[in-house]
Formats: sequence, C-alpha cells, structure tokens
Amino acid sequence: MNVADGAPIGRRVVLGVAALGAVGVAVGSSVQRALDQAVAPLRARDTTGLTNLIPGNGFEIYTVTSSVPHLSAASYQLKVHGLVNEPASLTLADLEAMPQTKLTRDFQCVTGWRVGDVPWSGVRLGDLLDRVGVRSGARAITFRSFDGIYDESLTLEEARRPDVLVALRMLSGPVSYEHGGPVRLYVAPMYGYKSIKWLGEIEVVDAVAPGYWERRGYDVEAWIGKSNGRSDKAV
Amino acid sequence: MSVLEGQQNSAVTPGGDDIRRFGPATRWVHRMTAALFGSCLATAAILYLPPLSLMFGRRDLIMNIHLYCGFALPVPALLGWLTLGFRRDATELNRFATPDSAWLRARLPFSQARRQRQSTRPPATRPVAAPPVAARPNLLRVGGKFNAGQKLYAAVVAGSILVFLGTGLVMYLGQDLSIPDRYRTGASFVHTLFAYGIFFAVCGHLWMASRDPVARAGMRTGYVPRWWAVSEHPHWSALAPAPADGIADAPSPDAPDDDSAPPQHLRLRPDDPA
Repeated sequence: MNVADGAPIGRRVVLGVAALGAVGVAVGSSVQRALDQAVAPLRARDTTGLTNLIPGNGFEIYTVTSSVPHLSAASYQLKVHGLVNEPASLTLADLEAMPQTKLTRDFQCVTGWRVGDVPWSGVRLGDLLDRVGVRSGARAITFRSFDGIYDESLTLEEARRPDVLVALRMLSGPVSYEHGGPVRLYVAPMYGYKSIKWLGEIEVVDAVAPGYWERRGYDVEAWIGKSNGRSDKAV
Repeated sequence: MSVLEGQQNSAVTPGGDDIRRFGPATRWVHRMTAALFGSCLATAAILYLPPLSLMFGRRDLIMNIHLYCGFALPVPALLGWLTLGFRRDATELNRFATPDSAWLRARLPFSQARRQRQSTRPPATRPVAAPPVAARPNLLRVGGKFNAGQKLYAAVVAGSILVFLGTGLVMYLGQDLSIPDRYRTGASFVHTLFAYGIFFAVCGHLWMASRDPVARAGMRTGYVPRWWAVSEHPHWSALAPAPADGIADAPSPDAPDDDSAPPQHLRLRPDDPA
C-alpha cells in the first residue's frame, strides 16, 4: 500500500475550512449583530476590558504614534489660531466654563465597528469659533493632535454643525487617556477618523488639507454611509 | 526537482542511527511560515487588543507589517512546492491511511472504538496504541512519518491561511471595490474568530513541541534518532529493515520514507506477504 493510496482527507479538511470561512463571510454580519445584542449588557457592566476580546462592537484603540504624552487637566492647553481675530490658548478650565452640549450618539468606525449610544459632552466647535472670531477668507479647519502626528480637517460649514463637539466628557466621565483625553473632537455624522483624539491645536485655514488617514486612502468627506464605499446607517 | 533533494533522498544517514525526517525544503517552509504566522499574530494582537494598541501605537506601520506578512504567508509553501521533497511531505500530510484511522479512532472522544474500549476493557489497558501488527494487513510502504493529528493540524493551518487571505482581501479591498458592508463585516468577523482559533492551535502546537526536544531537533536538523521514530511513528516506512531484506527498500530511490513498523514488526517482516 502506497501513501498515495490513502484517502485525501487533508485536502478535504483544507477545502472544508475554506468553505467554513466563506459561509462565515456570508452570514457573519448577522451572527455579529446577534452576538452584539447578546453581549451588550456584559459590555455595559464590564470594568475589566475583557469584553474587548469578544469580536464586535466594542471600542478599539487606534493610535498612530509610538506613544502619546499624558496631559493632566492642569497642564492641558488647546491652541486656537490661524485666520481668527483673537488667537487663544484655552485651558481645560476655560473650556469647562463655556456652555456644554450633551449628545448621545453612536461612534462608527470606518473599519466597520460601531458603538451605540455613546454619551458625549463638550463645547460646540461652532461656539469655540465664535469665541475667537473667524476672519473672512477662512474656509476650513485643520486639527492637530498633541501626539505630534495625527491631523484632521473639516470645512468651516461642517465645523459649525451642532453635532460637532470639542468633547470633554465621554461615556459618563472625563474623556479617558485611551479615548483621546483630556480633550478630543467628536464629529457625529462622520466616520471615527474625523473625531481626532488628544486634540492639541485648532487652526483656521483657507482650504481643506487632507488628514492623516485621508493621505492614506480614506475619503476626506467622511459622511457615515456615504463615503469610503460603505452604506452604514447614518448617525 | 531540486538539486538538493537528490542528495537528500537517502532516508538513513550513512553509518548513523538517525533517520532523515525532513528535507531542507520542508524545514525552510516550516521556518518561514512560522515566522510569518508569528508576525501576523503578534501584529494582530497589537492592532486588535486595546492595551497592546496603546502600548505599541504606530498603527500605520503595524498594519503594513500585518498586511505584507499576511500576503506572504502562502509564499513559502508555494515555493516549497517546486521541490520534490516538500511535495512528497505534503502528499503524505494529505493522505490518510489505515493507521491514521486507528490513531483517530483511539483519540476522538465519541468514536465507537473509544467507547467500546472504555466499556469493555479495564482502564489499565493501553489507552492509545496502534492495533497489533497482525491486525494490520496493509502496512505502509511509503509514509508514516506523521500521525493523523499532525496531518489534521497541517490541513487546518493551510485552510486557515486561505481563509485569512480571502477575508483579509475583502477587508483590504472593500473600500476600492465597494464590497457590500455586510460582507466586509462578515469578513472581519471571520478573520477575528479564525485568529483566535489559530492562536490556540499554534499554542497547542508549540506546547507539544516544547514537550519533545527530539521532535524539535528533527525540525531543526532534519534527522531524528531511530528509537524516537520507533516510539512516536511506529508506522514510519523509514523504520523498515535494511536493503538486504529485498522487500521493504525496493521503492527507496523514489521514497525517502519506507515501510515502517515497530520492532516486533521487524521480526515478523519475513512473513509479511506485502
């Protein structure tokens, strides 16, 4: 009996595993939704972070630099400059003293995961722009992270939307370090890469400059459900 | 096919009591696949697990490493396919023969053989063993260097590589090809689940390897001692008697791994009609 006479079980297993994967791609979205619903109560109560191991709609933490400075509430400053009448460096206390807007909206990542009903609160970007006074000729905003690398942009019109916040609070607490604290942006109607974390600088400029991931292929206009080849439900 | 393989065909080193288990092609495929798979798993953990994401950052770089290691994953095996030695090992991994059925029946939790053994025999009897020699009329003339578990593991890893490639491509090209969201979500769901699965499989693989230095040396040097082969792979054809026997070694120019049997089988060999 030669080895080649045995049954080709190995090949069948390979094809079987591949077929399993293909079936998974076809039905995975539905399975994922059911799983998300099943573990949602667990996620809500989890303080260990272990539910992040369950595939699905939990926050993933994206950072693009090797490390990000830890800024305390006392040392944090937000620089607002460019085409404005009164350039300013705002402390966390300055921001907290401004009118706070609360929103409870989903966070949708362009890679597919979505965290539902996240409580956000902070200063409307529009209010902040009014405070420093935007000069004529301004068309867009460039945001820079104090991680030293990440940047993003919005048109002036987008920046003035009521659902665009300079967020100080998120998930019922101050914005945590891993979520971009002490201060981050939250652009509700756009994919997560617009909601720049560790916000350090807001510059009012005359034209949109594509941001970090946009230079790497993502759409500059990041409307949820209408960009990046995706059709997610709008937030 | 390769020049090297020509020199590697003798299953037994001249003079030594070591047996050749793996040729250079197979060992290099193993090594490169392991390195690439390891890189994929490590970068996957950094990309996916929040504490590690935060610790390592540099998402763009890590993502590119993951991407290119992933795309490269099938390359070693495809290159290995150009060599006779690797194709022979792959064929052997593919084919399941009588000893493999016995091996699986002895281990599968719900197999009839196991149930029968547990119900009819006292627990002191051999829990897992090849059936007695007399019960094996068709001994392998080629092959036997892998057990059925190793064959299954290889097949599952190969199948998983295909799944990782396919789902990875759906995620990677989803935006450019406007692949419907549900397939992109499905692909990333499958990619994640398979990553967990393969992580535990690889851990099991490493754990078994950690318990057997001889097996590790076999993968490192290509050779294993005869005593080890006798105990671990009693059906291995390379354990067959010397050429003087005239039966077992007839196909040896073509096959490094000849007929095999445990020592008691060697004594029975002259009566073997095969």
